[in-house]
Amino acid sequence: MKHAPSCPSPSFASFVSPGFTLVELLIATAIMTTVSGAFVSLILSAQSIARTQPEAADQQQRARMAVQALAADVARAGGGLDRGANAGPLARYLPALEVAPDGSVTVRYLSRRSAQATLTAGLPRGETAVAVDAGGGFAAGSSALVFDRTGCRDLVRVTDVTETLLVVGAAPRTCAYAAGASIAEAEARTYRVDPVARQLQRRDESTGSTLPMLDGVSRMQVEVLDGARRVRISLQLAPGGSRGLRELRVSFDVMVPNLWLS
Amino acid sequence: MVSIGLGMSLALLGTMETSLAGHDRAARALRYASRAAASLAVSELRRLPSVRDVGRAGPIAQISATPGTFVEATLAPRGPWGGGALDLRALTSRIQAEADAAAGVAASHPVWRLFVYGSLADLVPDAGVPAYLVVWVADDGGIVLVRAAAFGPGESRALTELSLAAAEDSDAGAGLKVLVVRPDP
Repeated sequence: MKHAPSCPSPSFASFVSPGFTLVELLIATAIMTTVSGAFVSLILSAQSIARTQPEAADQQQRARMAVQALAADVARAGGGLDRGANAGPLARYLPALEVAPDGSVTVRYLSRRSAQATLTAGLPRGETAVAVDAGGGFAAGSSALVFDRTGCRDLVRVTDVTETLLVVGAAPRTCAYAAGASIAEAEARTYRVDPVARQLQRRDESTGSTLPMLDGVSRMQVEVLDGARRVRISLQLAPGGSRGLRELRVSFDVMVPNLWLS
Repeated sequence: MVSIGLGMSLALLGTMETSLAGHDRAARALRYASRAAASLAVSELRRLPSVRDVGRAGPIAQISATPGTFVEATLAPRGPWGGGALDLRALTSRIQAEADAAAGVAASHPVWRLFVYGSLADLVPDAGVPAYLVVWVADDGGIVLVRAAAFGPGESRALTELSLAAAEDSDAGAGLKVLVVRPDP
């Protein structure tokens, strides 16, 4: 009868792992901790980016749209009459692009070639019926600019239209106009930043209505460069609600061709 | 899995943002191209001994009787962005319809005719923007109207409109004066 050996033989002992030393375990733990820490921090920062990135992309897209509208209006500034005694750039008769000390900018331009006419009779201050030579192209409800060579100008609201007569709103005007003055469909818009609402707004000067263009704007700066050939507009966009969004500065140049013509 | 998901959504967002920015850049490039086309047309008009016939039809009704020198041989050129052919006859009809609609019931409805048309690359070989330039002209009771368009891929286009007046004592092109510029009317 054979008995099992009471202790492992030397050959069996050679297959048994001798185990890890304390130093090896400590090193392994340190490496694992470092790798796990790095991984967790990567996940956290990726989560943070995933949270803020859609908002940043949205902010950029909204800024792009607002900039496009603003740039289009500034580029049209000064567009004047195509025909008549006062034909040519509007800047000859009135300020087509005005930058105020508060950073706001007002642009004025005649919007449609087909809605331009000459007054065939004088227009006293309180009169609402305007006798014209070509009223057919005007649209009821549109804004029009009456102006003459003396620098007088008034924005009026057209309420009714015939070929030879325009009826305008009864809002008080600054001047009386003689026959030969011009009237044309026009846009007069002021872009400004409301510091309380932190909003870029567009005000229609003929109706007085204000339209929000872009939220989260802390500042707008408008510079007229190269003898009014170029206008540089800089917008400072404040971070939105999410943490981690950085301040965005948008700066763009707009050529204003009608200001060179004058 | 979480990090792969996050990574993919960020990559998607990045691609979308790049695409939006690309469209914005292309739109701006087209606007500049349309203004360049307008400038080219003005310089070609100023070379004409007389602008009296510029609004009249040539042998082909859609083309001005006195076209500029930057013209292609065909009215159905290939889009330089690799798309299908542009139908300049149809585009002329479209421009006319747009102008008529804008004029409304106004007495004056000028007829638009092709004046210059060609690929931007033929004008500026390294422009880097695949655009096709078309400029129409019309005579509106002595005022020469110019409508310059730059067409790009995907039906994109930019327009610039100009009004020019001849000198009081002469109808020579050299005396033309730009009265109004309407970018993207």
